[in-house]
Amino acid sequence: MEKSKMIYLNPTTVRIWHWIHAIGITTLCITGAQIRFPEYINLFGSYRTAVLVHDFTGIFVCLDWLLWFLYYVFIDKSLIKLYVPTLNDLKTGVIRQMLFYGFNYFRGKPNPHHSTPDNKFNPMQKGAYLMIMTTLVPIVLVSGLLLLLITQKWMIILGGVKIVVGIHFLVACCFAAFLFVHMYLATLGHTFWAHIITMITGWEEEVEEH
Amino acid sequence: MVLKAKFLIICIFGLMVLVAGTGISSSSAMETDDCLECHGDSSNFDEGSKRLYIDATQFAGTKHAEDGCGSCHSVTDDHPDDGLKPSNESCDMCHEDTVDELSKGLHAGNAECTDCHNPHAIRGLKPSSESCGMCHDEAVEEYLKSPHAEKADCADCHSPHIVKSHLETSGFEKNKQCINCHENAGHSEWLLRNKLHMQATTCISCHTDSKGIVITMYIEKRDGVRPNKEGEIDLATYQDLTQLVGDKGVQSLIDTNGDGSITVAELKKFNMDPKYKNVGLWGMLSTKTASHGYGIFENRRDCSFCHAAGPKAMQTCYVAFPNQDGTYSTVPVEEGAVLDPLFATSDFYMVGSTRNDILSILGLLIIAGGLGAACLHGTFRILTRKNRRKH
Repeated sequence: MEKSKMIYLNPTTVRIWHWIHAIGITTLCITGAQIRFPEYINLFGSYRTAVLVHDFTGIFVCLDWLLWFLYYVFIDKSLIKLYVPTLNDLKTGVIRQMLFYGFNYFRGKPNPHHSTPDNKFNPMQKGAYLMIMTTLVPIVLVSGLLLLLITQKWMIILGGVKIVVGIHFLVACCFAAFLFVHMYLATLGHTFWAHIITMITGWEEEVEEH
Repeated sequence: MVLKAKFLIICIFGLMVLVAGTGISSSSAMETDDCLECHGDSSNFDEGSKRLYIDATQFAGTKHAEDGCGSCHSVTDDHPDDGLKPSNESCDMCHEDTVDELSKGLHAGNAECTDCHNPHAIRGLKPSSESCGMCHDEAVEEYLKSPHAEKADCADCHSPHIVKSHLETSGFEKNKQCINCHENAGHSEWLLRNKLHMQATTCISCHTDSKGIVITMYIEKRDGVRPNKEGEIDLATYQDLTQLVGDKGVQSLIDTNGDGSITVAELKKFNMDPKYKNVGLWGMLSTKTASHGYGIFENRRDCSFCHAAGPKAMQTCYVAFPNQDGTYSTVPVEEGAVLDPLFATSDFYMVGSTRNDILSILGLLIIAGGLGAACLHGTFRILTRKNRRKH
């Protein structure tokens, strides 16, 4: 017998941030692809438009990320609680979650992690989001800003424009890869749309099996 | 008595000088008039000897007329019956600096002063079609067809006394010629990163139909910290580089084995050598040949003209070394150096066109990894859907 209860998991601010990040990063990936491979990709009309959209979106995402970071660190003070894996997560949680995605999900076993407002992410999500939001996003944004401003003083410290371009491109590819995995995992709720609806309404339906 | 004798000697000497001076002046004026008596009458010359005719009115207004014919030409008393050709005094007697400049350029040995100048006329520069066109007929013909020809003559852009070839002249010098008139060219209205483009592209790359894109790397001074790209590019001179390499020759700075070509490995070594931290390479887009078909080409406003040219278009590269005389010697660089992902040309990157293929493949593998993982999991998900229904 299945019993379900509704949990308010994602407040409005979080949802707005999520979708701004989602639209922003998707736009940056597509315009970035056109900027690097203009002979093959032309989704934004002219090359100039692609560069302008990329620049504008990049600055917008920078400010959005900064706001997110300041909010979680100084106002909500929940960055560590939500995103940093606990010792228990590292010892057993990660393995248990990997086993679930790799084997137990296919065997029809339940997800070992149950989201609550104070513990929204499973151990794998914590590790992945921590890495993304505190390392990869800053790297791609800072390298993007350097390329936008082309300030040589900083370029010499980092070894030249080619290094910065290389880092920017490879990290951006990681984001593109993440987008595919993230979108797929979003469909692994108790129904295909469950997690996606949560990210729109904020409410998650938690199904308890008896 | 002695004083009287001295006074007399001084007076005689002064009188001699006065007479001699008057004689020179008078002789010179007379000489010019004598010459013009024959050379000023066009009827004395047929088609073949027309060049010997001097338009007296034109000549009278020249600085050369003040000096007189005799200052440049000398004839015997029997002229013109002596059968001797009058001598031509070289221009360097008065125009030493200009002739010195000319002797260092490409025109030395290929053109005489009088090929371009008519010394018997006021502002005696012959029209370009006549002077420059005498040797550079194709370039002049091409130029005269362009709208630019209505606004500027050859000498407005090219100094005929300091003649350097296309590759001997730095891209910055070429651009300065254009900036003389087009200082406020309105690129910023449509061109992104306008200043950066101006510093990394020669004007003729876009404003002529010159063929063959090449990238020329110039050695810039950095004094420990590279200048902001929005600032001026400070090119290292021959003397600057000689201080770094001594008497080995400035090309040995990068072409370490002296074989007249530069490999990617040599570029990397130069870029990573802490000894050379105060100099670096600044790349500039240029063309292999210089066309004179100037104009505004609408397709150049489309960024993809350059940025979608593809990596194959960016294979030809040179390093330009300054010479003692201010010209540049270009040394070819191994093909594809600008496509190196890291240190070969660490500061030259044309978005889109100089992308590195290995880096692109690595990036695409990362994306394929993400997509593949989702697809693989999704496949097993579909295959095992019955297991989840049971629960």
